[in-house]
Amino acid sequence: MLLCTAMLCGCSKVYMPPVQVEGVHSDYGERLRVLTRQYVAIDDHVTLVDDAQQGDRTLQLQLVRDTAGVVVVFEMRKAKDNSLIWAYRHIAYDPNEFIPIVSRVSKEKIR
Amino acid sequence: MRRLLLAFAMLAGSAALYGCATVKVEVDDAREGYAIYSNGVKVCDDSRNCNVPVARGDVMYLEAAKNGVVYGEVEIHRGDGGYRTQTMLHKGTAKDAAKAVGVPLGIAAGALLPLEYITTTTEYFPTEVMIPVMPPENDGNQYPWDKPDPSK
Repeated sequence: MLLCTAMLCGCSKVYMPPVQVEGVHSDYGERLRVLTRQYVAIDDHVTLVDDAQQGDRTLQLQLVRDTAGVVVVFEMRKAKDNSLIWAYRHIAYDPNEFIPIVSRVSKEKIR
Repeated sequence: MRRLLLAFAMLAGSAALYGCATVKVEVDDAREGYAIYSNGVKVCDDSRNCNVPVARGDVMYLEAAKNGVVYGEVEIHRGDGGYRTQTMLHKGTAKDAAKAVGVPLGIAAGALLPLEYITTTTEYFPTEVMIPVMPPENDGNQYPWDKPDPSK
């Protein structure tokens, strides 16, 4: 169904693997993943796919503990050769800061 | 032809103003320098000496990053730094003069010197901006990232 939608609209297909966490409870990885899916779903130019084989790009999210907070990492790679297209890193001091970060990245970068 | 020249002169004047203008960008962390990005493009290596050329559009999204991590950002808009309205007078037609100064005067003035007013408004970005990069004050209690999410 998703594949058909992507073929019809001609938009890019993005696969999002589980969020990698370092020194952060996995609950926050899940919170970041759900939020990113919600924001990306708003964008007509991007379709999220559940199978890595179907995507032409892979969006890897990471949460890495830092001295003052957590670094939220977004890395977009080409599916065929895993080469890096872009990366964006932003500090968050509490989980409520995920919203403006994800909103900005999904609007300006992911499409 | 005259109108075309006038419009061109005004456009060139505005372009010169925008072209020369810069925004002085600083961060609220005096200890270290941060790289500054304007609308996603790196414009300064060190925030301790950073004057960013104003963007052509109406919005500038300024970010401060250290070791590739963004620690703070600010969005500024054209008009945040004030505006200036300029009215220019030049020779026009009797009809224009009547419109500008009223019918009786306009007809009288228009007979001798037809007039036309052109008003332009130029909006400016602020000349100085501070990007907040410091962590919030939390009395030494950082968010417990290693514990389960209480909102779940």
